[in-house]
Amino acid sequence: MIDLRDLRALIGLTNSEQIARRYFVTNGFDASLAMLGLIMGFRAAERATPDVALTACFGTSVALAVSAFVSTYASESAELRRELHELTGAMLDRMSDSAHRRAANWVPGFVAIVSGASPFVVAQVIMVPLWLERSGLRAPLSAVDLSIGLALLVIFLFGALLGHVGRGGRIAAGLRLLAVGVVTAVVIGLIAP
Amino acid sequence: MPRIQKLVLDVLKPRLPSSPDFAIAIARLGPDYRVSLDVEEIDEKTITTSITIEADDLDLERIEKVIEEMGGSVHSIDQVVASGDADPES
Repeated sequence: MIDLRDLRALIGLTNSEQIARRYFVTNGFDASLAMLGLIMGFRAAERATPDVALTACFGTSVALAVSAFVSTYASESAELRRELHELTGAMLDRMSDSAHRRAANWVPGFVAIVSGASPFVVAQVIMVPLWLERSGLRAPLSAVDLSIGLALLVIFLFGALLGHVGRGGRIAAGLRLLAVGVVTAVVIGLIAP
Repeated sequence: MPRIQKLVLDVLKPRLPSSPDFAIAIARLGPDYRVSLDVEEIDEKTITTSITIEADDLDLERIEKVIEEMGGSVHSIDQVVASGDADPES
């Protein structure tokens, strides 16, 4: 097994923190736009109840999480095995007891968990109004409208996070991604059958 | 009891962990360990180093194990300084 301190060292050894952060943002942003699209679709289809929206969004969030986890694990595992193969060739050594071999075994799992958790958590945050409505709580706005607002807020926050990572303006970066979300929502509203 | 007090090792190491991390990991083996790492050659994926380790009583086996765990490989032991306690009866 491996403890958290070891895992941290292995993540540092493979520079996987940056990779995990990229997956977190990419898959989280994907999920927020997917949820926005779904909920906009339900809004356009006036007969769809929040209950149906909740079930469909939850199913989609699970599918996004599984997809992100599996694809990330497979690709990161292959990348780290390839790097290890090249390194053992350069070292002329199998490096059997090395941290590099342990990293190739453990780090893809960590990156995959971050990658898979991101869309699931993001989707659950966006679905909070739908969950609350199902549990009987009533808000002044409809749950679907509140979820759309939350989706746009999450999209803005992803932009702000990217602005922070890139040492740029957080508000400007947040507004740029928010514009993408708003345009997406408007397009869906206009062309939804 | 004879003790090894200085070792100079020719070590091939991967680019990561970095040289400071590599030296610190060896130095952590004992409170009086002093480690000096000289870079001899840098290749695309590896770095050839000469590592000098000094302490009152060096544990060569543990040093080699730490180097191996960090992906390094000891190519040769280039210098050894050992000291033996004076025999009180001589």
